[in-house]
Amino acid sequence: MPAADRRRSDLKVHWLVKLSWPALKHQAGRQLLALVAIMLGVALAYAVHLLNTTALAEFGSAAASLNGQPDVVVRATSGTMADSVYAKVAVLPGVAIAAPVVSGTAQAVLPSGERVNLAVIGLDAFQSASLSPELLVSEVGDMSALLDPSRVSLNAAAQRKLPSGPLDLRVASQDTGVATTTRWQRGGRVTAPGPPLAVMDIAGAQLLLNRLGQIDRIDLRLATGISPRQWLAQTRLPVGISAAPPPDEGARLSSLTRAYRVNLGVLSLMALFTGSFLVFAVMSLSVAQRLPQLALLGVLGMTARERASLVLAEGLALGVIGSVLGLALGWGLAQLALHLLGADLGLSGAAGVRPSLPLTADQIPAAVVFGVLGLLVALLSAGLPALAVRRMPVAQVLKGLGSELHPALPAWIGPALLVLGVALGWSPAVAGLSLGAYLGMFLILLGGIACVPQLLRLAVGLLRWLRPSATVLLVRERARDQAGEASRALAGVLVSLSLSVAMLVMVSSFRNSLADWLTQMLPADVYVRASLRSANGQGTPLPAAYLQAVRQSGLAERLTAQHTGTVLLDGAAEPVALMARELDEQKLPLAGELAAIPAGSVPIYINEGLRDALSLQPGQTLKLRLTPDGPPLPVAVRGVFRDYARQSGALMLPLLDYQRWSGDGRITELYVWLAPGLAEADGMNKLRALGPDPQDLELAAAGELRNLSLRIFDRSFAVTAWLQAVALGIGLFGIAASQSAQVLARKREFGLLLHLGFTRAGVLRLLGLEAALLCGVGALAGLALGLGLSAVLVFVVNPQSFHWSMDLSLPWPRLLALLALVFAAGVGAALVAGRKAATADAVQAVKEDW
Amino acid sequence: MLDVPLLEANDLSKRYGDTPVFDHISLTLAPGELVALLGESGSGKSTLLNCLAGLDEVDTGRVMLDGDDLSAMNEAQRALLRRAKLGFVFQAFHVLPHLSVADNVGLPLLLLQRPDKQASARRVQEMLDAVGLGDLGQRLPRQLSGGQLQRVAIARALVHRPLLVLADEPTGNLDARHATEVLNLLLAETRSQGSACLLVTHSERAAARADRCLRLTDAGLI
Repeated sequence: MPAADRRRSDLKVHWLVKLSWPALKHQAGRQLLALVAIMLGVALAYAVHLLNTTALAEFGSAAASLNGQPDVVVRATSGTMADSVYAKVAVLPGVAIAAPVVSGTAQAVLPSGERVNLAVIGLDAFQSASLSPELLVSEVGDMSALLDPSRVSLNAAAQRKLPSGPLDLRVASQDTGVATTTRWQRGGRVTAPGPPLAVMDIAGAQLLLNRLGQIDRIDLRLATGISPRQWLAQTRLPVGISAAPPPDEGARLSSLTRAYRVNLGVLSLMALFTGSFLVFAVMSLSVAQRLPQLALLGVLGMTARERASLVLAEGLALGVIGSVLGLALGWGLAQLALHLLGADLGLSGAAGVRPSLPLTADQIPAAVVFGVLGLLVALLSAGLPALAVRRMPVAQVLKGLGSELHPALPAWIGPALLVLGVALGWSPAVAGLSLGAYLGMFLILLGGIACVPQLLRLAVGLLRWLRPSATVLLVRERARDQAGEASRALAGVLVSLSLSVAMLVMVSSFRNSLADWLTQMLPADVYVRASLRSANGQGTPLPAAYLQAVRQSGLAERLTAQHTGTVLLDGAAEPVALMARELDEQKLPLAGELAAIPAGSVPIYINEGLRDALSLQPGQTLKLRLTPDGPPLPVAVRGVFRDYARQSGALMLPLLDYQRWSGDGRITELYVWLAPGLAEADGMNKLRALGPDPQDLELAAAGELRNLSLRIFDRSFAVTAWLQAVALGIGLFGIAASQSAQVLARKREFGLLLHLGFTRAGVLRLLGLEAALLCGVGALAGLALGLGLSAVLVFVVNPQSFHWSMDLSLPWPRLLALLALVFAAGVGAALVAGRKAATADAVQAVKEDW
Repeated sequence: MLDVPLLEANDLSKRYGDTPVFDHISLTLAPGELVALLGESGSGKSTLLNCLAGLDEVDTGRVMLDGDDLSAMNEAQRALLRRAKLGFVFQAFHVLPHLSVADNVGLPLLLLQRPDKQASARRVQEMLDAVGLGDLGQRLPRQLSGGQLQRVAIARALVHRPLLVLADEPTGNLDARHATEVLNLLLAETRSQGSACLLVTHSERAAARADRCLRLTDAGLI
């Protein structure tokens, strides 16, 4: 920078200190509020970002530990493969290391009878040494534990949960559901992070998981200089065997949870967005009050550009301090949240992962982005007042003329923005994200704010119903004259109120729809499934003997069976969840009408996620395969059902059709309507007692599941409630601050009124009426805007982001309480400030002439 | 050798819509000259002063200040010219309420970005002493009387040794005794620094103290 320029910019800082600081000190409360708004906005957004990325990174690293770092993974195209395949693959050209792996799940049975779910990995320690180092035993000398098939090594999470000594591990057969318990010796400790994990020699794992002679995958390290792509193109694999680079589990989770994270991210920006209007109101008011002073500086020779720079520099200073404090607070909040709650915040895929948050250089880019965001908010908020200061006619302003800070917007702007916002609000998703809808919501908010002056003028019309008096006249004329100023003061609270209304309505609609859905999806009294899980996380089948026992027990008035698994659909890249059950289609939670289907096709019912993923429509026919090499089976979409249990695709199929096609009679879930007169708890105990080992069964009553689901829902939305409360708090402080600042700024006017014979009570009445008019318009406009925004959230954002449609439901008592709170805060603040302003000081203020 | 005029205004006209404020006004001020401008309320005196200071635009005519043509300058250039060469005293004192008396007086030096802080501070104290407020530099404006505030304004108008002081009814808000004191001070300080002064006033007594007297009427400047 040239010396002259440097001197100029140094001197600008000097001006900030000499000219702005003394004036801003006198509005310390308001400036502090603006600072807090930026700080909280940046802090919340940064904290949520840190939590999301930390959870994803930790999950990704835990998954990478389990999967190792092979160049290529070889699997059977369906199910497991014989370990003879290993011998063929290991000798293929270009293969440097081939490590066979068996994986599954088992339950550790504690001496107390309690069960702990364990992921089980079986490997060849010598081959896996360089591919999966974190799965190897950490203590020196304990390597032998992984060579001994009778020993099981545990990671830290498993060691914490399981007492020392031999381990009793229970595993169910995938074919029959019959479970057996075997005893194993404790090995060493493995360093792999994440949920409880047991690592053992592959032969031991095959024995434990009933998979003698079978392996799940072969991890390959290729010879130096051979790329996976090249090897895959050149290599012929045995029939029924496929190979691919290892899946990036972190990326998979990232893509699965992207919509959730984007929505949470947008929500976390709500406080900053609301705060920006508050900062704007504070800056605007601050400049309005100092306009004669800034005009004097203009007369004395400060250029228009320098005056505007001074105001921008004030905004910049606010932004820098607010952003820096915000980043520090955000990091602290994220650290605290990780410590107290774990990182998932409802991020279902990462449940159980408890990451830490070290201060690293990786966080710098995100910190810069969020810091700049806070800075931008402050600069944009200072932009309009700075422009006004730049354009003002200094001589007139110094004489007290022409002090209109911002020119009035044309009346059509507000309605035009609203129309544009509504149109954009209903636009389709872009890459699965509701960008158009969010932009639409933003425009609806701006349009609503722009409409406030006209609404205020309309509301002034109501005053003619009051008895004509000096008070009414003053209120009416001020409201007419200052409508633009009022809308700026109201902008912050209008935004936070409408967003709060929108969130309240959305959460209430979602919760009520979920409650209805649970009632429809859980029609029976009791649900039974196996507590043991297969390697892919699905339930193992219920033993046939148990099903027989339940049928013969007379405990059930009615029974419905379900088989849960996966199927493949033409056009779908990944397997789709299948629920084959005895269906009563009239009782399904349908989204839309049932469609007629061609004769001869089997009806399927798809969830909204599947409908959106494959662009399916009711009535459409398609082909379904039960296994990758199975024959294509003709099915037709009979209807679409709501599925709040998952965002991914799922379908329902009549159980008889599934069994006819597959010959698979395994049942994974049982819906039981208890015999009349049988109490729920009693019935559940008796149903449990029918099992070979009661702990192999998971039984739940409909009411219990329903309550649990609603509790999980409430916990997931607790974060949104907090974010919403912060935004509303900022809005309420904003209206209180701007009301009291405006009242105090009118001290001279009140002094004049007191001179003219107004009583103090009369001045307070005047203020009360003005504030009631303004806050009344604000509350009603906030309600109307909020309802509009909630419609976009309920009917567009949720279906687009999560594939969940829902019914709109309005929680009127809460909405009215919210409106009353905003109204009371605004009017109350005006009256409190009014009591202070309409004192002897005000009489003195009339004599002040600068 | 003839003196080059410090201020030269030729054929100035100004209208607000269809209403003329003044028409075909010409005037000159020599360096160090003190000229009184009289006229009735609403005759356009303050507007003329604003136009001479480059705070308002004329519809026709040209203003030359110390050899610079104001009409050929943009807003920033006019502001820089005011900063360096003009001083102002207003009827309503116009001080910055949150700045101390000394800081208010030092404002023009701050705007001129004088690098020598100590010299600036000495100059401010010199001016405060000159207007009789030597001990009140650290006070805030609200602790001063009207007469004292106008003394602050005079000190501020002269602190940077401007070529021309524009004073718009500087005694209009003061009682007779304080008005005389303030006027004496303004004229004495202006003369002692060799600055020219255009004094807008209603007071014939004040006008009588000037080197020259002009009257703004509907017929022009006479």
